[in-house]
Amino acid sequence: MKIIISNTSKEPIYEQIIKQIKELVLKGELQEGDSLPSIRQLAKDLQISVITTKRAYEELEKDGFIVSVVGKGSFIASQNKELLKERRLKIIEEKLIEIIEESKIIDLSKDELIEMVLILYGDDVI
Amino acid sequence: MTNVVEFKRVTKSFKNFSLKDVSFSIKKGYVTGFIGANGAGKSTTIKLLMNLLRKESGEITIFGLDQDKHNQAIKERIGFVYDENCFYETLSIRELRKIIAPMYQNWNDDIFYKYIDQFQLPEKQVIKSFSKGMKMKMAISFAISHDPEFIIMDEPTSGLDPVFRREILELLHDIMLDEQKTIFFSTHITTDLDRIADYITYIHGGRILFSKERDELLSEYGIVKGSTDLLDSDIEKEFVSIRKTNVGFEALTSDVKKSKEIFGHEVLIEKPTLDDIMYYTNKGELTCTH
Amino acid sequence: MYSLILKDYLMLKRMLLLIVVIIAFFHILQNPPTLAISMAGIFFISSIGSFEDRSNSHIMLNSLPLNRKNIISSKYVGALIFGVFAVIMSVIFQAVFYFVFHIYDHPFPEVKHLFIGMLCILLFTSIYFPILYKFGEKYTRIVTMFLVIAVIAFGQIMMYVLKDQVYEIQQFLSQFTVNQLIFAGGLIIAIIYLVSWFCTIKIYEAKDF
Repeated sequence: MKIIISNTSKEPIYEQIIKQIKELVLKGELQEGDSLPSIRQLAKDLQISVITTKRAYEELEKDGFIVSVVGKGSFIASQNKELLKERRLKIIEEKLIEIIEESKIIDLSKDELIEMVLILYGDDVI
Repeated sequence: MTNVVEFKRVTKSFKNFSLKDVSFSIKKGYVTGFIGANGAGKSTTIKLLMNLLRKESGEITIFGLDQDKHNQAIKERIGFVYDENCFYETLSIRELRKIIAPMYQNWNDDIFYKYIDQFQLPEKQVIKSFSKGMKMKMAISFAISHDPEFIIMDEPTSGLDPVFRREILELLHDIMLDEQKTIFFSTHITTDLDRIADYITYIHGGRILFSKERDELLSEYGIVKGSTDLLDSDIEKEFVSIRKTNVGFEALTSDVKKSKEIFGHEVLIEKPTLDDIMYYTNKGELTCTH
Repeated sequence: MYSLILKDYLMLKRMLLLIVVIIAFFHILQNPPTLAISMAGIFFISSIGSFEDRSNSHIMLNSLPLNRKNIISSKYVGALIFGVFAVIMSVIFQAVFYFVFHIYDHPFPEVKHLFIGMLCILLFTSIYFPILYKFGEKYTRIVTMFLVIAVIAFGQIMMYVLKDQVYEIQQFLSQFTVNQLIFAGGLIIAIIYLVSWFCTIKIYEAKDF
């Protein structure tokens, strides 16, 4: 399992951990039933405090990403891939709405916006 | 969650300094960083905790046991590391081991020699000739060889180079793999705590100002930076203290949410460091008293 | 307790060697063993105290699983053990010097001389430890000196006050045998020793380090 923590980032460390574990699950690098390092082992490996990793695991458990079994440790929970994807789509949708609103403020036309997206996406224009 | 240590309204006074009504607790299974300026009462608190100083009033319990009634049983379960070398300087590590090992029922030579080897400490040389770093390594080896549940360290990293400070932190992380262990760690180098402390206890002028989860503390407090035009006497009261210059102000708030409501996007709000919190709190106290 | 006493002897093992030499030296000069034993005792016991205080070891000792009472008791028990050690050394040296160099009239010292030597050690210990633990190593020498002067002055004054009764006191004492007097003295010193032991524990228990 690969996790990289930035100490200078504005984002709290526990959120960085949550985000990265979620990403690993979405990408399929972590599969259902895979065991995670213990809270204390992860704290040692990342050189951060125990409470920080504890909080990250608690949040992940609340979101249904992992299950913790007393005395055995934490494991990746069974994931409904479709549901996960749907959730991610929802997030993208929210961000797009934000972008559209920002565009309207400066009178950016729909076509101009789409063109921008195409350029940024990196594909050749159709 | 159980507490390893509880201070209840402990008082101790000296000629020109006193601890007043100190109450706080240390949580089992975590690392608590104990911060405060020089002379704020860190060492006095640790000495009271270790029963080296006689308290005037109040109550100190360790592992749920009264400090005075169960002194010996408590000390069996504590490992101590102090800033100054407290071991006989004229002896060698080998001789000291002969003296100290039989005093602990749980003494484990395997652990002891593991660390002596790891730290590459000479066994037969007198301690007087050791460097500060070597003395600290030795003190740590003695402190953890009876597998203590609770480790108390008074400024273990002061005066040591960064490489060695990291080594100590690595070692403490190793210890904390066991959830039965607790560490209480006083320091004025607060960056050492960024990598390990779960809780922060802050002492100032002989009083405990707060004892909190570190992450919580750093998300509640904030450094607010902006133009001095924004300030008036009412707003200034919202801050712990303010540093004003010709180009603007910088202030510490203990309620980031509220500051965001007051100023919106007009100011820059940053995450504070423990040093920031110490600096502005100290400054706040000074302006209050003068 | 056992490990605390052992600690003092481990720390002073070089000193012990020196003390054996001192006892031997006194015997070569054909002094009665009383002097050898008491000098060795004063030397050893003041070393026990001063090295402890000088090396700032109270902080270490009191952080280890030891009670303050036991730390003090180990000193008093250690002093008794030393007394026995000094007596044994004295007996051995006199015997050696008698058989090898023929410089004594008897192979063994008189029991009463050994006993008085032991009492001197106890008396010194009972005075030295409470002062040491109350005032610290630095002031102990000064305080001890004052105490000696005070005792001598007190003696002089008493002699002056009681000068008419001196004869009666002598009369009173002469009705006892020497052994009886030594026994009475021993009893008094034993009581002083126990009182001193108790007081030093109280002093040490109240101390801040």
